[in-house]
Amino acid sequence: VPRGSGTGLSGGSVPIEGCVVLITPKMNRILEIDPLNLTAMVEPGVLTADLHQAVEAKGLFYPPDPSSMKICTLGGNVAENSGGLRGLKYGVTQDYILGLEVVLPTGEVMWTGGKNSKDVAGYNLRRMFVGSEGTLGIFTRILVKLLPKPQAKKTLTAFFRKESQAMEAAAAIIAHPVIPATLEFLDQTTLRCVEDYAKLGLPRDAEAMLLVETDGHPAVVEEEAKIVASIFQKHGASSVQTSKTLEEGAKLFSARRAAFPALARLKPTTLLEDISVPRSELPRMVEAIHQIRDRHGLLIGTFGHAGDGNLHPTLLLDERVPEELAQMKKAFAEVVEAAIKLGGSITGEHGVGLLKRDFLPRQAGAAGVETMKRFKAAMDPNNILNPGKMFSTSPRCEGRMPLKKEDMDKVLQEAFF
Amino acid sequence: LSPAEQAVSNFFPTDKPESGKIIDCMHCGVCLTTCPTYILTGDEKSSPRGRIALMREIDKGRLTLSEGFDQEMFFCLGCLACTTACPAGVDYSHLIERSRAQTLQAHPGSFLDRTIRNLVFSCFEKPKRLKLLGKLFRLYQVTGLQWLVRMSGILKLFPGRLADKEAMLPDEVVSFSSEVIPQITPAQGVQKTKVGVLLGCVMDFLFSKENQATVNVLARNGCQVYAPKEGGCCGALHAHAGLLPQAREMAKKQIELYKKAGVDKVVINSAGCGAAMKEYVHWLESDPQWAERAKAFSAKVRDVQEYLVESGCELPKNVLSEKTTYHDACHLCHGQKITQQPRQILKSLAGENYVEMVNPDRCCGSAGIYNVTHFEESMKLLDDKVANIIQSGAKVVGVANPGCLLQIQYGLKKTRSSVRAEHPVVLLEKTMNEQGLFF
Repeated sequence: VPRGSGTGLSGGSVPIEGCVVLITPKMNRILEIDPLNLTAMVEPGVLTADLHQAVEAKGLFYPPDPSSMKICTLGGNVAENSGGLRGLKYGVTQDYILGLEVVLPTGEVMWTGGKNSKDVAGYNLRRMFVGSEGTLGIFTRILVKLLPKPQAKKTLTAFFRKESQAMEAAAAIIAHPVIPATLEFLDQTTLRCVEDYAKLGLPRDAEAMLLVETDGHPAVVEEEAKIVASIFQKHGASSVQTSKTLEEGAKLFSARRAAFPALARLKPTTLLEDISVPRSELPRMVEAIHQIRDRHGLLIGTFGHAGDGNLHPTLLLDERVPEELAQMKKAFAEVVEAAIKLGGSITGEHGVGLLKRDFLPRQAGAAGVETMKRFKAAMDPNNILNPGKMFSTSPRCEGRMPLKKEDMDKVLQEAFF
Repeated sequence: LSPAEQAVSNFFPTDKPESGKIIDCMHCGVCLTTCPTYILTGDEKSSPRGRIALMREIDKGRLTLSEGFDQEMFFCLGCLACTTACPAGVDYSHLIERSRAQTLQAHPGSFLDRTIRNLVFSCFEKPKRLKLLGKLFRLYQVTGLQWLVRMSGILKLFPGRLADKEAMLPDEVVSFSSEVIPQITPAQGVQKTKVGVLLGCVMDFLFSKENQATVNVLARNGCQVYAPKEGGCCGALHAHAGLLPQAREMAKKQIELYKKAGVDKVVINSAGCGAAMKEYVHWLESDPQWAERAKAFSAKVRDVQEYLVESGCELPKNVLSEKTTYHDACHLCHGQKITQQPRQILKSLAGENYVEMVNPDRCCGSAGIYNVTHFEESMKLLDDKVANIIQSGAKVVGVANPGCLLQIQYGLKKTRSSVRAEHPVVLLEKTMNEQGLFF
């Protein structure tokens, strides 16, 4: 079982019985930063924040910024295809992986990809390894793509009396179209928790908060910030703030940064969910989460990346209370189910791992999971790399056997027409 | 805790780390990059998250209180940097102290171990024994024995790097605080309030200058200062070593002492002692006779710098001509979350000459008796700290904790650096004195 810093949220690096854990944090050298090709070669144990620091010192930029970047490793980022706050504009880890040195489960050492910005020789193997959750190979060197560092950035926050106003405002920004680096959403439960914990002076009667960060050329940033502010106002935001300096920006960001710590302190057990829906379905997804919360009487704070439809409903409970645990399991399954119904995904950036392996067939379909398993079997015939992850080990049920003629007809109808 | 849980836990019921506090940890790993022992080793088991995982397994009955667990619990510096980083607010201080208490219950050690331990720690429980120790040390200094020992290098013949450890002791001849500080010091000018100070155990004779400065500055600030000669140790050393019953007894003594004197605040100039005294409320929370009293007492405890800023002490401005920086003592910045007040004092004194060093809040490796029990690791941390101080270009470094002072002074001496380490209160008193602020 490969393991970086063990910060994953789906149990991908948790060993099941009889496993050996292979830890990579000591492979932590940044081997090369190439300003001509805009690439960096790193070992898998390099911390994401360390890479940020190193490339930014040279005026370059590595956009993926998972919230755990201070401690998570690049190897883990690649394995989980991690996202982050800047995902809306800049995409996620897979968009920045140019090449990989991989030790295969059969023992060969393989290099795939390279510094070429265009390269179509054969199958795109490196894309297959990104997000493979440690089941296909061990990364020993990673070549990442870099960008020039944005010259300026501005942060804006807005509070809304009605959650629907916030949703409309978020949609209007994208539709304008302005694509900010970051477009984040916090619901009322989260806002109140943050206020109780960090005392930032947030309005307790607001149902939602939006946070936007725009970056790039100073003139563009200036213009985008104006557009966003006016959209906020048009949608009835109660207060709109725009940062003038970097320090002010960081201050405005503090409510979003405090969201998870504030929620985590309320109850001993914290389950950070991670579902993703098409952007247009976001209001319905948030509504569904609120209904599930009220139905089960659970404490769920919802926040996340409104810009890219990736939400983190956070379920809070005490795992020692059996009823709460049972409620949590039901609510968890219902949230995932609701996302699937809206055409979304069971996981946006945290991975399947152990946590969601039973849900994967609902998402990918039987044929999809079978294809994935065939990949896995071809790559790892002995099933020695991260066994028990991603694919359910419990027996599969594909429904009732059709006994009556009407049932049979229905099945045939569904299968062929 | 349900009976079923009690049954499976491999912890002893006495001073058990609370299960609820163990599961507060959500294993996010944010603590890892701030943990000095994780930085040194890169081993998960030597990180806060790893240590809590071990506790959790023992609590769930899946692991036992092994000797490996003992080692890990005592390998921890107790710097509490993890508590500052922790998003979930895990009470690591409670967990580590209770876990150490568990290791002592599981492995009390041989008869010899226990005797030595009891002898050493009892010195701190009995002020008279400590005083004797102090006198012996002064004798060692004034008779020239210290000079002889250092010149001859005889300690190099002993195991356990005794010579290095001896070198940590101060060169200046020590004097007892109680010899130079009266039991009651009147306020200068109008008396605003009555405060108590702790002369301390080690501070009493190794840091009488710091104690003196504290009393003077407080008196100048309108405080009548009560400095009990029989004060002694606050119990922090015991609590950190897992000797919780002894620590509680000492806490009771302190509470009683200041209660009798009727002080409004108890002002502490040692980060470790201040943090511990603010914790009395937790040490004694399950003792019905003492819980309330401890709560009231802890609410009165202030670090001296915290107190001076809070009470609006007038600070001289731009009086230090040398570049000055500040080292965050762990039990101030992590234990008591005090980072701004000492800087406010130093920035006022030094003005433009105030500079920050890299990683000011990284542990210097002193950590109570850690530099004695884990010399090698402690020195690695110290080397980093000294390098950061020197690199900052400062000539003076403010250090508000006796352990850190000894350690950093030793580190600077070792590298033959001319940088001085001083308690900010000493710097404050000196400048106030130069400005003729004392009557």
